Amino acid sequence: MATYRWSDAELAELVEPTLGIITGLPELLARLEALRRIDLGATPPA
Amino acid sequence: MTPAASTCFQPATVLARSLRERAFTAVDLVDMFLARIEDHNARTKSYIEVTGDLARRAAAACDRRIAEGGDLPPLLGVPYGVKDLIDIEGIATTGGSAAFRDNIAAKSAVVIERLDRAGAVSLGKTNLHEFAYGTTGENQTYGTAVNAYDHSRLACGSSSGSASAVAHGLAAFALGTDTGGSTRVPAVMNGLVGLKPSYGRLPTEGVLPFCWSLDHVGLITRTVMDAAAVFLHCTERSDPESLNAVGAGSGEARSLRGLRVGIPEVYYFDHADPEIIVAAQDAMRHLECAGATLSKVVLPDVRNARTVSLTIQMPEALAFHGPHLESRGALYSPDFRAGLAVGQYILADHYVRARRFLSRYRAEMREVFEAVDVILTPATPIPAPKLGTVSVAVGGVEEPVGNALTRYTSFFNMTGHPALTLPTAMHSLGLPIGIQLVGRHEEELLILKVAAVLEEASGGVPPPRST
Repeated sequence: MATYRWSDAELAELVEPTLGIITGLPELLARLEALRRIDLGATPPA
Repeated sequence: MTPAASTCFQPATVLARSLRERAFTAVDLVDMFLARIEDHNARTKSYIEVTGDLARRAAAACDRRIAEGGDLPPLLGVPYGVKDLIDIEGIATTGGSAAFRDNIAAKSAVVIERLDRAGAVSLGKTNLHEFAYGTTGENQTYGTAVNAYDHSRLACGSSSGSASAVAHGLAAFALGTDTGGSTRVPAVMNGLVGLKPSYGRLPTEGVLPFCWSLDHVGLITRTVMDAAAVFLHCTERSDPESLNAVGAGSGEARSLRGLRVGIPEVYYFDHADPEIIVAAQDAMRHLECAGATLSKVVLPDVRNARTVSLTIQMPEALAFHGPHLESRGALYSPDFRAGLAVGQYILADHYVRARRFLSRYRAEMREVFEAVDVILTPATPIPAPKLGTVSVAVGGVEEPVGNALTRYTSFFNMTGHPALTLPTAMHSLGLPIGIQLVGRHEEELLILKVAAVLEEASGGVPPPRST
């Protein structure tokens, strides 16, 4: 359910970043999964 | 160096005094800077748009005010640069992007209005990483601003042009923004002071957002006293007592006795260039000599901080830029489009969880600041990278250059604490390196005072070779 259209090159950059600015999506999703397992108790969002 | 060139490397507060003493007129001063910009900007890529006519008109108004005498604001007639994310009425705010070339501001940003009232004179809009997205400052539309100490290296970003302008003597000070380190990193990499005040301290109205939750307006100056003077003006608190509290006096007045400085036990001194660690240790010794007490502190676990920051940044950036992608997406740079794509694939659950981490980080930092008054860290783990660098390896660990550059700075965007970077030494590569000071919310004057002591004790860094 993509809201915006991305080129193949952009999706390729997501998967295997070459531009050095940020982490690639697969690694980011893995890290988000690790964050999901950290117990935050009842801490509300800031 | 010619006398005019030498003048353009004077601190803003010195220029302001010289203007009041009529060493030269405000129009003369603006002309000196405009001449330097004309000579050097094609190489330094510091400015996107130079507003020479407007600057001369504003300077002429300053000269009339000086001639009238009376109480004059401390920055009257001082020329400065404005990161091209910040609106100036009637001038395009391009965001460093071809997509926003025709985005003419209807009204000046609040911080610009405050500097207008203070009599400072804008010289134009400085270059940046497109829409403040990255910390390399690379810009495919307007060129990449270069480091003043080595033109084969990055000025760093995203406030690359602002730092490059001040460091090359093309502005007396400059405004930047800071979402993960974008004022602090380019400042220290170019031998300058970078101040990110507390979140919300300087209004962001009239500033193109990158990430509303983490954006700060920041200041890039030649000296700590300049940072204090500009900060006070931007908060409309230009009382002499506040300024004197930062840097006046000697001896006991400069003592830091009673100050408790926290040194993080882990993370901030790992995988960093050894010369940067030595510079930080020297800074610690200077603080101890000035009477401060140093102790180890345990900061919140920051191993996940970069992930938390990105998880907040990219959806918010997409929320602002999404509507523009429809009509002008092809004009955005590839790296920013890739980042926006990341934003789309971050779920609401991820985003909300990241904001819960913000709450936790802020609560944990409140506890840390019960035991200490100021925290000292290195400013960056590496000196300024070469143009075109994609990844760096420090201590055997490879990471994207953007992650490395913001490793020590981005956490304090999430907690909203005021933070300042200060160059304190030269790396053997001939590049400035330095430290970061972090204070409690709204205690900018304290970190400025500590920075002033360190600036004097360390002797600062030499200016770049003549441009």
